[in-house]
Amino acid sequence: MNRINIRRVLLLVIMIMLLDPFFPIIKARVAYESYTYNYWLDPVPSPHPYVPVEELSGELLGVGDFDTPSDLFVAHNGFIYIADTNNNRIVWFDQSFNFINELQTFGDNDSFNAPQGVYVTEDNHIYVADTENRRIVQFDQHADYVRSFDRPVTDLISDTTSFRPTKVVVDGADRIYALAIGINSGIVEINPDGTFQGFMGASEVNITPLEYVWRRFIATDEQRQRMGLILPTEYNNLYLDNEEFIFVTRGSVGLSDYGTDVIRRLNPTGVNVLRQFGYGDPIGDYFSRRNPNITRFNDITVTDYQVYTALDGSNGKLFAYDYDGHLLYVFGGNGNRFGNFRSAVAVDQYEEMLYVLDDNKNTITTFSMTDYGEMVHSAIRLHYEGRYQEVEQRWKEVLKLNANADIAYIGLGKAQLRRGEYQEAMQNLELAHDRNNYTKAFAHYRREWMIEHFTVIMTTTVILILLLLFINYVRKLRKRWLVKEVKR
Amino acid sequence: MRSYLAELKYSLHVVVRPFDGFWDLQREQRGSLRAALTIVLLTIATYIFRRQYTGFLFNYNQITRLNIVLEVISVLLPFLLWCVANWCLTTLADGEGTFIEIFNATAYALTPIVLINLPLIPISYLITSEEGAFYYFFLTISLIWTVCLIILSTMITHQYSMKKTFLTITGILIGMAVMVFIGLLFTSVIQQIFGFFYVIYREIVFRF
Repeated sequence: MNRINIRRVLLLVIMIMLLDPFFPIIKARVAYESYTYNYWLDPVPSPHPYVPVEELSGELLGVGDFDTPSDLFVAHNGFIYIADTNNNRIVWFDQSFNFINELQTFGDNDSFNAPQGVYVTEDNHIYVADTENRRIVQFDQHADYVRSFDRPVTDLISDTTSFRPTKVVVDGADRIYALAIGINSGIVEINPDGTFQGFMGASEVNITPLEYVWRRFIATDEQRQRMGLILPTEYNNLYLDNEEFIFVTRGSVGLSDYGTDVIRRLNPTGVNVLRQFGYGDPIGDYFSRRNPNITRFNDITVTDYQVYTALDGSNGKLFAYDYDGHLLYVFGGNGNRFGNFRSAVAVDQYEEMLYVLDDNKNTITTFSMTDYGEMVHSAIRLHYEGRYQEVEQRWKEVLKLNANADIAYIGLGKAQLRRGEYQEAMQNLELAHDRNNYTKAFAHYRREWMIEHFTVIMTTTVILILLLLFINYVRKLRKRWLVKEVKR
Repeated sequence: MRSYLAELKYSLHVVVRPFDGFWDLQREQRGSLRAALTIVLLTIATYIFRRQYTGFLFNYNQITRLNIVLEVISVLLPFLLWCVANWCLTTLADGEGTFIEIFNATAYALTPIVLINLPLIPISYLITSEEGAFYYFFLTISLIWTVCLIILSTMITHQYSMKKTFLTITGILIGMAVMVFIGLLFTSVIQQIFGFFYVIYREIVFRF
C-alpha cells in the first residue's frame, strides 16, 4: 500500500516535470517597477497601476510605419489621433485601433511640413500645429480644410523669431492656445477670429542672487559677452482639462533647476493654481545620489476628476498625482523589453487605457489599468464627486492590495473624520503623517474625551485641593503646638 | 561636605540667580563635578526622550532611524568642544576659571533645557497644532535661557567684562570650528593612510 503510493507520487512528479514546458505558468512579469514616495521621500514599491497590453507600430495598424511621430491625442469619443511628424501626416484610429482616416493633402494640393501637434475639439474639429509651415491649420468634422492661422501680428514677438507652433489646444470658446519654438513669453493665445490676444502664464526667469551679483557687478564686459543669456524655460506641452484650465509642463530643466515647479495649472488669467499638498511637490522623482537623472516632463494628461499623469520622457516614467498633488504611483521605464520606452514623447488616456507614443521605436504602447489602479482611481473619483460614503470602502480595498498606500490612509482618515470616528481617523492619519487632518481629529477626540470624563476629572481636582488644604491646616496646627511647647 | 542632592538642587538656584549662582558655584564650592555630570547626562537623556517620545504632532523625526549613539554625540560633542575651546582661549586671556570650573558652570547652565523640555514631552500629547505656538514658545524660551546662562557663566567664571565676554565667545566659536575642521582633516588623513596600507596588504595577499 505504502509502496504503491510512493510509486504513484513519483510517477506524478515525473509527469509534471515532463509536461511542464508545455504548460508554462503565465506570470504577469512587467518590464518596469512601480513605486511611490513616502513621507520621507523614500521610494516605496507599489503594485502595478498599469500593465502594458500592446506595442503598435504603424505597419501593424496598416498605415505604414510612423516616422518620428510627436503627438498623440485622444478625442472625447476615444478616437486616437497621431501627428506623424516626418511622414507629414495626421492619422487617426478608433478606440480599438481600426484605421479611420488620415490627412496628408488638403485644400489646393496643400500639405503639412513636419506637424508636431494635433488637437480635436468637442465637435470634432481638428487643429494641427503645422510646425515647419509656421501655421496652425483647422479642419472640420469631415476633415475638410477650414482655415489656417499664420504668425500672429504683434510687436511682442521680435521680427527675427519665426512662429513655429509645436503644440496646440482649443477651448470651448474656440480660443487657440499654442506653444511655439523660441517663444518663451508663455502660451500664445489667439482669438477665434485669428487675431492675437496675448501671452499667457509666462514662466519667470530663475537666477540665484550670487549669479546676479556676478553678472551684474563683477564680470567684465568681455566675460559678459561670452555668457549665455538667461532665458525663462519654455513650456514644452500643454493640456486643457475639463474645467478649461491649462496644464503645462516645463521639460528642459537642468540639474540646477531641480525642485522648481515643472507642472503648472494655469487659470484663465495665467496664474498657476496647482495644488501642492503632497509629501513633496509634483516634480517627478525626488533627487537621490543613486539616481542623478532628474525628471524632465514632456507631456501630461488629466482625467475628469483631476488626476494628472505626466510623462517623463528622459527616464520613460509616468507619474500620476491627484488634485491635491499627492503622488499616486510611478511606473514605466526605458529599455528594450516589451512595455519599455526608448524615447517616449506623448501620453494620453481614455477610460481605462493609457497610450504612450515613442518617437524612437515609432510605436504606440497601450497600457490597461490593473485592479489596483482602478481602485485608486475610483476612490479619487468618488471623493471628487463628493460621494464620501463609498470612498471609505474603496480605500479599504486599496489597502488590502497595498498596505503602503499612504494616499489610502489619508483618504480613509478623512472619511472617518467626517463620520466622527475620531480615534480611528487619528490612527490612519498618523500612519500617513497627515498632521493637518490629524490635529482636527485630535481636537474633536480631546473634546469628546473631556466631556465623557468630566465628572472624574472634576472630582479628582476637588479632592486634591481639599487634601492640600487639609495638609496645610495640619501643618499649621503642628507649628502652633510646637511653639507652645517651646514657650513652656 | 554637601550632599549630592543639595549640589544637584543648587542648579535650580543657579538658573534663576545666575550672577550669585555661578559665583558661589566656583568660589563657595556649592556645586560639584558629579552633579555637573548628572546634568549633562540628563540633558542627553532629554534629547533622546524628546526625539523618541514627543507626540506625533510635534515629532518630525523618523523614529525608525533614531540612532542613540548619534544623539549622544550630537549633545556631548558641542558641549565638550565648547568647554575645551573655552579653556584654551581663557587660559591665554587672563581667565580665572580652571577647566573643571568651566565644565561645571557650563553644565549647570544646561539646566533649563532639562527643566523645560522634559515636561513638554507629555504636554505634546495633549495639545493640537493650533496650540503648538505655546509648545514652540517654551522650546525657544529654554534655548534662549540656556544661551544667556552660558554667556553669563563665561563672564562670571573668568571675571570678565561684558565686552570681553562677547569677544571671547566669538573666539570660542571660531575655535570650535577650527577644532572640528582639524578633527575632520585628521580622520580623513587617517582613513587615507589606512586605505593605503590596506591596498598594499591586499596586493601582497594576491601575489603570494
